[in-house]
Amino acid sequence: MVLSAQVNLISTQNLVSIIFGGAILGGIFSLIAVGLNLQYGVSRILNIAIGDFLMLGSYVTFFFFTHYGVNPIVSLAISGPIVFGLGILIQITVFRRIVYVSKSTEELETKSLLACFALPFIIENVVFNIFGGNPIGTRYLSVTVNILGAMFQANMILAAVMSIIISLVMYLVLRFTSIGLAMRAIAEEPAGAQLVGINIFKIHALSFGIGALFSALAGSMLVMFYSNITPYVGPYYTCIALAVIIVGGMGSFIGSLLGGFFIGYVYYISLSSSYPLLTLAFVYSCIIIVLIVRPKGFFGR
Amino acid sequence: MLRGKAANLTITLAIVLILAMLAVGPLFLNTYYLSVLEYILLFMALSVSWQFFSGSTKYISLGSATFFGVGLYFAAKYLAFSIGTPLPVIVLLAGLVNFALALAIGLVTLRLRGIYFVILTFSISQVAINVISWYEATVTHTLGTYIPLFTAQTSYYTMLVCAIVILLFAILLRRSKFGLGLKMIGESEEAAAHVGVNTGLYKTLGFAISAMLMGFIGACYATYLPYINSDIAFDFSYSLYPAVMTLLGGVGTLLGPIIGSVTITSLSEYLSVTLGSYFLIILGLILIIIVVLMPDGIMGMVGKIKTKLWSWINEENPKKKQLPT
Repeated sequence: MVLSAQVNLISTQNLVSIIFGGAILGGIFSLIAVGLNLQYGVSRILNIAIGDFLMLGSYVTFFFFTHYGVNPIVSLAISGPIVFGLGILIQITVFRRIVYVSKSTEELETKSLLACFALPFIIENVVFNIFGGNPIGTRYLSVTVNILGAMFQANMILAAVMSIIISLVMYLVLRFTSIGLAMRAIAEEPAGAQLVGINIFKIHALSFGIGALFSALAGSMLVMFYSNITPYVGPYYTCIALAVIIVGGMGSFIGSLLGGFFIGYVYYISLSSSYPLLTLAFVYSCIIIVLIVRPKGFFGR
Repeated sequence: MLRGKAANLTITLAIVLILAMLAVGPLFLNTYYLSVLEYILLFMALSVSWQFFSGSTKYISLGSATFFGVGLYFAAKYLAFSIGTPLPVIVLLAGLVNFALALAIGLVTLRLRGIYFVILTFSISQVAINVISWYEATVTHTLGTYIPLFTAQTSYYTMLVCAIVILLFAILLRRSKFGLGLKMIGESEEAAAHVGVNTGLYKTLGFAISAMLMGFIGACYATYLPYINSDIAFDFSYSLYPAVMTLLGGVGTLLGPIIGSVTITSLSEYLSVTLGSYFLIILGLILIIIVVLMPDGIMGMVGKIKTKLWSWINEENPKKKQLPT
């Protein structure tokens, strides 16, 4: 069994498939993780419900695709703002209050984590009651492309490229605009940021919304090539995003970008090895090993 | 308000009354209500054992399902493959297995604090699910285990005895040196270390004992289920609900986990019957309201109301206070 897996790994076609396949998954994973990391880094809320925002993005895209025939790439511009608004609404109604109530950062983190565990109950079942539990998919641009002998779907490559572009745009926004500067300032020193006149409640809401936006974009792109999106798919992607930001380091942008590729490769290699059932176990083992050996992650401060 | 002997007598009477009602319950209730009662007892015991470690040390663990599931699996395999071993022996063995497992996990992981500990315990329970389902699918080629049937009464009394034992355990350890040490770690770990609490030992032992209690509960619950697999045994709700119930009731109090578990379990049972698929939405809303509006839980609110009431009763007439000049 092990021997055959090694033989499979060695052939060039498989090598190419692993290199590109891992990178494609990695690009999408890092987009989700960048959103999650932004939410955690700025407002110390580890949003366990991020996978459900992703699912919402998928369903919005699916709705507009089936009812109005909107191109999935175009509907990124629809699903993104809708989920962005929803994220801001949730931040204002739920998490702002928790920030008021909590006495310390640690208390805020655990309390908001518990609130985040409650969110999926609501989001998943509302979607289930509207759309039903059948898996959905839009099947857009499913043409196979041959890269050095390995076959990939064009929509997957498109999604990966767009994910990487969006992540890089976010990096530029964080680096060079005043809002990005404010976000970084709050992540570094919340009290100091308030002292110099940054409205931290506004920035908290904005960063939470952007995190939701990014996961919705990822969901919109996932629905192009996966036809197994159900209302209950959220926790699966949450776990992957969690693994990415733990491995890359919480609060580090570069960490979540590169961590996304790392987890993408782990995921793809274990999927194409002879132990595909253990894929999630490998991803979780990455979390456990990193937390035990270096809790801050590879790029954490 | 009652004080002193009268209060003690009332509390003792109430406890005896509740115990008697629980003991004779099976004579009057049908199977459905019996299973609801058993479910309430199950989550009560789980919340109390969760509170014992995570509530007092503030190391929030979302890995209860690991220990519950290991206990359940151990007991199920044992019951399925060896006939004749008395049930208490199996339950004790399941607890010991969990004790060893949690000792090993705790030694490595209890350096982490806060959110990292939460994620770590959660990941461990997920690895357990995936590895066991992989093992069953590829190595043994049998999914899950069938458990020999027990009557509803046997199963109920097993769970009742287990819950009472765990409750007694929690009450006895609460005011002991060990329990107070754990509580002090929760207040401030540095201060506890300075006063002379061996924080590493206390945390690891506390984690292991809490896991052992969860193993007992899991093993007792094996008498209720006809069939288990990894998804049933390691279900995430066994991790999430004890934490949420304790938070609703009030962390750090004795009655908190009990009140919280009884409230949430009976509420969710009632809502799932009356509202069907909408009930999870309501449950989610309730959880958010708990976290947002009741930071100290029901017991915290009761305490607040009590102090207000006392100050209102004892307050002297404001007119009297004004001294004549």
